[in-house]
Amino acid sequence: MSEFTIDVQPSDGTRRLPIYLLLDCSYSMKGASIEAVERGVEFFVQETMADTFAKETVHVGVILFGGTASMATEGLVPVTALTPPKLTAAGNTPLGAAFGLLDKSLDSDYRANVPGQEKGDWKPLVFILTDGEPTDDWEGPRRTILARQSGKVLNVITVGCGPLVNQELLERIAVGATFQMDGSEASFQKFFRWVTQSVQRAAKQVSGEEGAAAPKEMPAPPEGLVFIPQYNP
Amino acid sequence: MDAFWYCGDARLATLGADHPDWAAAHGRAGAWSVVGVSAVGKSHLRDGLRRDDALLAGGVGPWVAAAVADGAGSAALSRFGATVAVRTVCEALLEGAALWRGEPVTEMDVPAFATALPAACEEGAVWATRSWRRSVSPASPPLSAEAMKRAFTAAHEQVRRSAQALHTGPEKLHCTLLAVLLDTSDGALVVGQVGDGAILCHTPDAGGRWLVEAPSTGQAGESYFLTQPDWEHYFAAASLELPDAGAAVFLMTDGVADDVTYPPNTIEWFTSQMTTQLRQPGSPVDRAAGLLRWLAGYKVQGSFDDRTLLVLMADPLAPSAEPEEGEEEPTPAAAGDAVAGLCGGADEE
Repeated sequence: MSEFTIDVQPSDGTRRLPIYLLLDCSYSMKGASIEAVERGVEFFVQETMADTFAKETVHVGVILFGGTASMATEGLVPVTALTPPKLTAAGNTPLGAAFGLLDKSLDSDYRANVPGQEKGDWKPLVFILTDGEPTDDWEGPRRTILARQSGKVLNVITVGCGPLVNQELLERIAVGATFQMDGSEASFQKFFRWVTQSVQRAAKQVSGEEGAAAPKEMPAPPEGLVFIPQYNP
Repeated sequence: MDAFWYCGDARLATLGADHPDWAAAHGRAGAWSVVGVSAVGKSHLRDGLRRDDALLAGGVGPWVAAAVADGAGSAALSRFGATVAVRTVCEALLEGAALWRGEPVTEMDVPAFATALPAACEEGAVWATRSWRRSVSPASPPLSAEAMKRAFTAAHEQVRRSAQALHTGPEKLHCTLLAVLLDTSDGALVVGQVGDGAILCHTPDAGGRWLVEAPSTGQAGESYFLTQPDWEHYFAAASLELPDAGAAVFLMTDGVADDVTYPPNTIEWFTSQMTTQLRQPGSPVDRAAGLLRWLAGYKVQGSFDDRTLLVLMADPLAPSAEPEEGEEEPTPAAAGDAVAGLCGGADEE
């Protein structure tokens, strides 16, 4: 059989899996907690890079809120280009501002799927980690994010940690599936391991055609993360 | 009368039946050739899963029907749904076309058909069939959206029956479906689609373009399926006529469409390049093998899904449908000749 060669290079656009990490860096996180979060982000990056499929698709946006809220990444960056941020615990807990930044990034950085026009992203997965009560106007921005979640264009997981977070508070501030854990270093390690597994699972599922459904089938949360029923005002 | 010929993925019907991981098929009717290839996705290879896509082409007289289907990754038996869907829709389209022409099928010209088959048919993925199940002439012309919808209805119903036979729900056989019926005598065709994927064409005058745009969920990774009870809401069809020379039609599942339809100008470039390269000199078997090598081998970051591509093209290398002066007119079966499967298996029923 003679060699019949086709040499057509397809488009090189990548369908991205956006992962947002909203991390509380308020003063109450000072000490072992903030160090554990910093190491957790490093672990997340290393482990995600080690997964072939996650490495090709995962793009990360990191939003820090402590005193002020800021985007630690320039929008969504490939996990291969993500440098884990140096974290400092200071100030109050501007969760509303963090929600605002998330909303803004979803508007500007997330690519909607338009068949034949734009190769859109997979459904974003958002992890919110906080240890205290929000100190700014958070209810309006939360409703905005909640509307995206309800519109099935976003999957959000909220985790409250430490002694200042109780179930009643979590019910009020949470978006999406909500969990509570203590503030020990071991709990932070478990949390970031679970985040990493969830992202790897999501990358595996989007690569297997189940993209939008992926976060519905997250790995079971680790021992110590207590599920909090959803509060819907 | 004409014999029906088919090539591509055999219908899976019993639990435990499997697809080949890579498949190729080719056929010809008149001056049009068809080549289809399908490759298991990287993610399926990693997870030890089977290919869930399916493809089929068939013909009778001047008519060629072709279809591709994408079994949902989340549905355990979706490859069953995909093979049943492509088989049923092609049969329904071709039977409708033959009936409309008023030629009842009463017997098969097996010797003529067998003579027309190339050596590759020994691989077993090629078959001929007396596939009549209806004896009433269709109410609408075969190249109409109504006829296409009727064929999709038959496929929908058959997949649901298959689910019953497998003692499972139709959602376990979820699949998309994209199909075309072409009259090679004049280039007229009708296309239909439910779910994601793409049907494109390329013509020398208008370049590359979409032939039909089925409703989309708007979310990457989500699709509508033929197997849904309300599939008709998401069905789209279009009829048109292509020029005799230089035209090509591309049917593809989303594993390929994702890689060749973004951004928009990619369609023109891809269809043009592919049409040109598929017209290189070479045997149909070489062409199918070359296309399969390309499909299974190209690399795009984040492209992990099963890939299936089927191309119908007015082929300058093919013998003309009209016999030259003094040339003996071919037998009807030979006119729909040259059907080959490279990697498939015999029909599983």
